[in-house]
Amino acid sequence: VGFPIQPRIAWQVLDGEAVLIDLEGGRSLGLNAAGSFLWPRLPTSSAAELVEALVAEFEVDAAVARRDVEAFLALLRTRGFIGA
Amino acid sequence: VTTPPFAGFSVEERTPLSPGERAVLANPALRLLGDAAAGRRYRVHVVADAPWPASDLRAVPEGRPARLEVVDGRVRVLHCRFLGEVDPHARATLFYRREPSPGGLAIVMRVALSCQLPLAGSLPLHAAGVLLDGRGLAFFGPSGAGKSTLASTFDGPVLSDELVAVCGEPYELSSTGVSGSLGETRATPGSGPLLALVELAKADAFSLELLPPRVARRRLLDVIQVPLENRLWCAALSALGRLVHAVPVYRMEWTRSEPPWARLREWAAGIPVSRDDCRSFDGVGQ
Repeated sequence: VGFPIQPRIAWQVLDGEAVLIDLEGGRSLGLNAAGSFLWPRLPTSSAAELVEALVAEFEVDAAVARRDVEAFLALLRTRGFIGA
Repeated sequence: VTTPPFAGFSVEERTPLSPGERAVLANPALRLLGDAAAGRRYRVHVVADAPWPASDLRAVPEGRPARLEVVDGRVRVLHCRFLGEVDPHARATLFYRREPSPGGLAIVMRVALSCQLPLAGSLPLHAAGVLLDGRGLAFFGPSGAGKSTLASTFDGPVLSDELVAVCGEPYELSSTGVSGSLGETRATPGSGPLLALVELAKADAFSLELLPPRVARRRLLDVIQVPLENRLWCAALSALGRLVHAVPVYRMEWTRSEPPWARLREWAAGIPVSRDDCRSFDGVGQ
């Protein structure tokens, strides 16, 4: 259903910010508010569910949320952070 | 053969340790490998046979530094003269060498410590540490920020100018037995209650600025010395998240011509003392 986070990524949500460590390069990355909200939901949510959750949390337009989720997922796939 | 226990860990010698290697294991900071609360000892196995195909010993060319590899949650240390395998979850380290290698064992034990600390909620930091009137101050920053230079100007106990351990809670700053350009003779084994972490920056004048937790966390991420293994880093991130809320993190600008110790003493005097004296490692070891 969801988007499994690759084992090369160690992460925690700290003070609302998802902090990611790419174990293959040793680089760290902090996600913005929307990304941090979506990140822990990735393994168990479909794209539609992520859009729905984003709309509910940030009160944004569904079309904007869909665009943002698609861009976010594309970025994570490009970087090899998630599967599926 | 099993040697009498060291502080916090025991050693099984399938091949005898040399005096130099024994001295490495007498490093009092290795007590941090143990889990005193649970009464669990760490185990070090010195083995006579290569644990992997002998070709691994040639995986790193002569004269090159040791290389780390993560295999199934274990951290391997590969060098042309020695091999180590650290299994932080089993609380054990295996060490193999063709001939006695105190330097090799020191590297492997440093990796073992760097693996074990985060699982205990502690952090190994690339930082200089001192005990200022008995309380710990850790100075970190990019290369050239002046960690070793600053430590060399301190007239009190220097825990390290290279690697310190932040253990909590309550938080303490501890030596690790690892030192950099300052040398081992200047480093003092011991620990003390952690007063603050200080990011260093060279400037024309002294200033001290408290960093918000989120900023402090980002800066400290770069100095955590943990091998790149998933569970270790998840634990390290959790420890970091707690640390920045419990211990103040500052940015200090300073100039080499005017070491900041008088100002820091004045500043520290205004902070309540929670524990009076630093702890030494007297009485531990073999």
